[in-house]
Amino acid sequence: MSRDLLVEIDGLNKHFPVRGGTVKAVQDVSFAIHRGETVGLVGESGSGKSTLGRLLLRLIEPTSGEITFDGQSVSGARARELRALRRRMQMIFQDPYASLNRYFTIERTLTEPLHLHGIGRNADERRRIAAEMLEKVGFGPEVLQRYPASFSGGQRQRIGICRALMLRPDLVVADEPVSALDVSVQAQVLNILGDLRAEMNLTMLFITHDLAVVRQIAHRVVVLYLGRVMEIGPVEAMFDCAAHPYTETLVAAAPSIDHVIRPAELVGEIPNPLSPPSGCPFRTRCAHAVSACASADMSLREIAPNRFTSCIRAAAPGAFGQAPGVQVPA
Amino acid sequence: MSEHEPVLSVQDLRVDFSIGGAFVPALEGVSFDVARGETLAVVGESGSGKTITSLALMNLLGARGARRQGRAILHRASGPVDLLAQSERAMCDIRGAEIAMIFQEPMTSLNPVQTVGDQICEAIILHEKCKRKEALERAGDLVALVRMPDPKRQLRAYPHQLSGGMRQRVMIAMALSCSPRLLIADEPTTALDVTIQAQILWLLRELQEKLDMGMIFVTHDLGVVNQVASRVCVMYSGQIVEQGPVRQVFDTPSHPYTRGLIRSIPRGRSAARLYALPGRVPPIAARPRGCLFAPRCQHALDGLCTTERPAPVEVAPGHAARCKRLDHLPAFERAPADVA
Ligand SMILES: Nc1ncnc2c1ncn2[C@@H]1O[C@H](COP(=O)(O)OP(=O)(O)OP(=O)(O)O)[C@@H](O)[C@H]1O
Ligand SMILES: Nc1ncnc2c1ncn2[C@@H]1O[C@H](COP(=O)(O)OP(=O)(O)O)[C@@H](O)[C@H]1O
Ligand code: SF4
Ligand code: SF4
Ligand SMILES: [Mg+2]
Ligand SMILES: [Mg+2]
Repeated sequence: MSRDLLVEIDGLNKHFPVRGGTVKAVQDVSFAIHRGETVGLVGESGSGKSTLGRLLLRLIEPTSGEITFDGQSVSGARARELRALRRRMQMIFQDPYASLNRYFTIERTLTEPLHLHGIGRNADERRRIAAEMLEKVGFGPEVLQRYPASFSGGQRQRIGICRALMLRPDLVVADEPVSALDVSVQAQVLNILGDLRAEMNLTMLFITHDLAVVRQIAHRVVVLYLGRVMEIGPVEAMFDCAAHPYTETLVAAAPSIDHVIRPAELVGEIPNPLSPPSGCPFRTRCAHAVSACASADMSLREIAPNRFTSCIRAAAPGAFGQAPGVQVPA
Repeated sequence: MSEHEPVLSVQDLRVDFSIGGAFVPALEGVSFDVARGETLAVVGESGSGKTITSLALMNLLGARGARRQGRAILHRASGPVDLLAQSERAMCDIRGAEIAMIFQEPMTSLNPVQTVGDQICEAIILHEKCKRKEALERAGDLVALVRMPDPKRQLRAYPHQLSGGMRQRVMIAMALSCSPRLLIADEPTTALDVTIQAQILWLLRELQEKLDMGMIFVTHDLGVVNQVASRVCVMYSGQIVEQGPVRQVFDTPSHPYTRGLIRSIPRGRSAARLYALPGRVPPIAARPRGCLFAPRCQHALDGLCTTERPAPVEVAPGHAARCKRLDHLPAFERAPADVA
């Protein structure tokens, strides 16, 4: 394994038994995250983004597949090892309110994990560590005595970030951390995350449905649809020229003040996850679909350097007209 | 299309809420016109007063000690009426026949134990006072109008069995059942996925043109404004701080708040810092004296900006901003050197 890789995900599956069948929330997902890298995870509602994030931290158990963190198996870790691993992996949630105990002061919320992991000799020292971290997200020490309810959404998100970083983790999984915020507050929070990422050399999995946000913060992007990876590639290259028709659709549908969306680019509903289409799950909405797509093998192909796609008709980024199955030699 | 014929003219709308025995202003003089066949967007951060504006027009603020002042003239075929001067009974008729409204979360306005087909029919019977058979026919037309795929099956479904996008189509169908002159849409696509949002935005745009309705479209998303509206009101702390044609406002914003919002939008090229408008919208009980935006404005001058609310100043025909220092602001740059 390369020393450069902090996270490796290999053949990951998560099935949820539900009334009426099984939701395959994550299907055969494999990718790696380099140290210091931010990987954006994008896709529409129900594509499996949060499930993947939770699997990564082993907040839920995979149905099958392997997750390795810094050379150590996350999936195989026993309670003790897992505790040590958890200290190095933290999560930031969309709604920090739900993750902050409203009956605890900010001080208690921030210092409890320190206590739990035996960091800081006494309460004073832990309070000092908390105050230092608060300063990094733009608060003075006076907020230590306040309760979550007295903060605005953006302020709470900064507290949530602060809490996640208290243990100085190597990896942060951020699940839609700015989705509930207004654009001005979103910019404040994204800047803080970007600064801290550099300062603390953080590796991040950044989950979002907002392409403008992912473009701002990520180095590389994984695009999910109905639990499957559609495309993986460097962020700018992907925006310049998508390697998968679904990515193209997402880019076209993003409302921007610079262009007006053309209606032809948008068809269909997201299929029921209980009965996804066979082969390529995107085929019911894809303008390039041919009959072979119904039985397509969804494994990723590298169609240009570092550009991986599951589309069988992609010959090169932006070129989806090729005869089915035509492969470009890597 | 009847271009400049106004359907609604709002003049100096004020709303105060009674808090602890005193009236606290929430809307401080909102004025705008909506013409037939036109969509006017109302955009601003959360807490800026967008929803209060739409609820005040519909007289749906509830009894919680809200006081409304000003005028909101609805131009009906039978002549103009002031919405703010109507009895609740009269408003009930107007809401059913002239103005319709759709909201962010259709689930809360749909009956969970009745099929959506029955609900659409009921709305039609209520408005058109027709028989069930005619209502069924009309329901068929409406679901075709909102482009529901497989309408027969969808009409037999209960709300929870439909996707968010389909539920919103049902809401739009019900809203259109009375052939309104004016449609008020408050964040109707905020809870939807981008591809579905884009479809609904297109649908609304198309329907608004086809039916020659006026539409007020409330959103916090400037990108969405660009998809549906021809004119935009930028709202801040209970006032419209800038108003004008969409393209003009986005390309050459005048008010420092509009400029800050536009510059805060992420535009990619990872790693670059974003421009971040400092602070946030104050609660209504903590509004500053003078210009509402002054505490967050980098151009604020003590005295000039902190004594009275700035009045709207026309910067181009049909384009106005509430700022005292318009002549002294630098030319707008989307990504100024200090951010790049
Ligand atoms: N505990 C669970 N039990 C059953 N089904 C689940 C469970 N958790 C997730 N799912 C299903 O798995 C799929 C993926 O869900 P997930 O929450 O990961 O999506 P997401 O991409 O995060 O979506 P969103 O953008 O809405 O947050 C969905 O179909 C969801 O309904
Ligand atoms: N019934 C009420 N009583 C007191 N304050 C209210 C009431 N309804 C809304 N407000 C306040 O008015 C402001 C604007 O609210 P709203 O119109 O809902 O904003 P938005 O622009 O997000 O739709 C907010 O500060 C809100 O807290
Ligand atoms: S595999 Fe077929 S259906 Fe899927 S994205 Fe490619 S062309 Fe479209
Ligand atoms: S009036 Fe003054 S404080 Fe208000 S926006 Fe203009 S310059 Fe800024
Ligand atoms: Mg999620
Ligand atoms: Mg609102």
